[in-house]
Amino acid sequence: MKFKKVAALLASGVLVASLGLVGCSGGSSNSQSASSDYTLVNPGTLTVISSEDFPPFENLENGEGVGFDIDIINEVGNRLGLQVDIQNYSFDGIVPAIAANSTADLGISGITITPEREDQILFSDPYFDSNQAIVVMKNSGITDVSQLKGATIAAQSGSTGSDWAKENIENANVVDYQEATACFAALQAGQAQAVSIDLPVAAQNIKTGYSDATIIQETPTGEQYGIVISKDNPGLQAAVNQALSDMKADGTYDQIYSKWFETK
Amino acid sequence: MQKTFRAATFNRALFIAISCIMAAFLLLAMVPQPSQAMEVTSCTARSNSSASNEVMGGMETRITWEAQLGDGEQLSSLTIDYPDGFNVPADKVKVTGLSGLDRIDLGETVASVDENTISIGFSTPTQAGLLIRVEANNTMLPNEEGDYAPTATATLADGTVQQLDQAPTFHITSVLWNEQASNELAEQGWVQAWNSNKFLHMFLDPTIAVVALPTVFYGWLQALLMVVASFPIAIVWGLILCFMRICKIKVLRGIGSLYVNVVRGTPLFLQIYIAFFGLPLVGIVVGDYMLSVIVMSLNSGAYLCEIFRAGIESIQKGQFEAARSLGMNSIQTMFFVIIPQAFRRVIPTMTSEFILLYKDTSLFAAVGVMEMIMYARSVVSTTGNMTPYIVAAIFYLIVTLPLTKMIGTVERRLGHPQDPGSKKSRFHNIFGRKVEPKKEEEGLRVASDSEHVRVTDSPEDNTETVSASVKTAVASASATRAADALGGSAASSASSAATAPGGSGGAVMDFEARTRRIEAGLNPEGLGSEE
Repeated sequence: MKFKKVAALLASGVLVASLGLVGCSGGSSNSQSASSDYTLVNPGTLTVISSEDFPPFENLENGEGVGFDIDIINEVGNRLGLQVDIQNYSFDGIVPAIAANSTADLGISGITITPEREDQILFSDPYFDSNQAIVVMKNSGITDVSQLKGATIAAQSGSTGSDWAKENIENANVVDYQEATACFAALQAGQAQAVSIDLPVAAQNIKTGYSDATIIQETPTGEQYGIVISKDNPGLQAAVNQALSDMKADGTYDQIYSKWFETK
Repeated sequence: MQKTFRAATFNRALFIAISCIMAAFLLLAMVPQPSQAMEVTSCTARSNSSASNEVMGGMETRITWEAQLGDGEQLSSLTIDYPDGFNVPADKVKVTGLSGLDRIDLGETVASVDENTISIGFSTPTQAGLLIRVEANNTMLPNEEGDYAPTATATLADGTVQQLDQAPTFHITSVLWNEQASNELAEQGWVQAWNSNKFLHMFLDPTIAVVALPTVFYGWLQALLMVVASFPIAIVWGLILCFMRICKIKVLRGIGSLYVNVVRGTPLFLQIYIAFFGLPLVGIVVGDYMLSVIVMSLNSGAYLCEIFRAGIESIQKGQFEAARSLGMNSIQTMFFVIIPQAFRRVIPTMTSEFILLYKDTSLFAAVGVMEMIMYARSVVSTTGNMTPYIVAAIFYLIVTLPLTKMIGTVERRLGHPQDPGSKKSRFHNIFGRKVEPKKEEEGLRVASDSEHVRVTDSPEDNTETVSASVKTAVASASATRAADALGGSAASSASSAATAPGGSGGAVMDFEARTRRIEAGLNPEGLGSEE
């Protein structure tokens, strides 16, 4: 008698659970919105991952992400009629995470468009032109990159800055840090003699927190940032590109640009 | 005479002056010429090795070539001839114009002349004075060590054709065995089928595992070195802290408790950040590895302190009393009686702490110490694939699995003594739980006492005088008297055992246990070999 009851309970439990599962999978496949042909991890919401340690593109202020990239992506979400949910993520994990297409829909984090990354993910049209910089401490006596032969260079893991230092500074010992802010902390603490990082970020960090550091070289690389989208989601790429070109056409982009940078 | 001489010198001076001026004009005319001419400023190859900054032959990489246009020079086409053996796919070539820091779109078309030559045309001649940057992505390199540099020919808007100076060379080293193996694996059918599964490709890609193997192995050695160097220091520091925490001096006890609670109450990650980024700011500069060993020792010491304290406190009070009654001072009691027993009890917990500490080396990746995760990450960041982390996980397991197995074995042996030769097991197990002795074993008491005398009588024993008194006591062949000699508290239970040998098993056992432990305590060598 007792056994029967337990069995019945179990059976109904299993039924409910499987119903629930079916409901769930139904929900996610329904996330395809009617007006466009892209899928979203969370229906109705644009889930974005970003490494929020990269001012002026993205950083946390009172727990809230702020910056050029944040404004851009909010505007994109606005134009797609979607809520934007930005999650903090480690920089070198963004491309693999988007490639896996399960945690987030988009990645925006000052990510330079490179062919290696394009092998794994789709990029939106470029939304920002950037360059590289080499930062040293003012009192270090280093004035030229040629003095950094064999020196320890701090860079963000997986960044173009890290690549640049490895390729262009002879015998450089490039140490990859998870966060851009850690590079500057390491520079100040003497763990590294220089930081190799994107120029706007170098300038911003020196302006806000590291006034005792200085840029000794602005390297024109003309690299361009793109928004990262999964290869399984070309519809989203088209939608994002449309939003970007619209906001460039109607001046919204310029407004956001001049909010964060001196106009060209 | 004088006059003619004067005239001659004047003439000569005039001639020199004129020629000087002319030379200056010539120089002036010539100097701008090189600055006007298009000049190759740099040519580099991106490292395609996951382990070093070197450029490996036989593999693809990106070659970046830069040239500066002179003032007023507009480029209408450009041909770059890479050395023989290079294979440059034209569709992967990216051309960028830069005016200062501003990116200029050039509207270029790139065509392949032959395998190693590309020609770049511009729809309209470029702006003057630009920096032209040509990135040849996915260029296949020859597998031959040497220095290489491309040559280039530029056609300017005014129709002049310039053969540019050869670019600075970059060095290619011959490919490593593992990179070669990876390339060969990538061509296998089963690998391609395997990698067509997204998950398997992301986490278990064999081609990337092969590439990561030597790099991660190197990191494994570093991590092992770090933990092997820091653990002994942590043990000593833990013992010191432990003594501070149990000593009678209030101040020391307070300092010990504060340290242990602060260190155990904050994440190691935070401590690492403070040590690496904070200490240098107050003028303390230590090398990376040294500092990580120090941080690990200081941190682990706090945990070990608590482990040791628990071990020491698990030793029954009777051990202290008995040892003291043998005339040992408190330091002798601690070092010859308590610690040897406590140490053995905490071996499993200590091993767990070792495993934890070993895994914690991964936290140092955050501050740029090259340990296993850091090496794995360097491959992850170049490949964008998670497989190196799985390789690292396997390397962690190489150490942790055997150790975990060892803990299990040790615990089993200490917890369930089946070895009949294990004397200790008869009366209490390693956790101090008393094991009910059988009544007929009572006779053993005397036997063990005499054994104790034999052992303590050895010349190495530093409590010879004490032993002598015990010897005398035992010589009387009375358990009760021996107990009297051993200590008051033992005596009472012993006498009760004597008066009611069958009735009060607990008391008998108590006495038995104490006798056993004193024996064990007085004979550290015997202790070590007992198991």
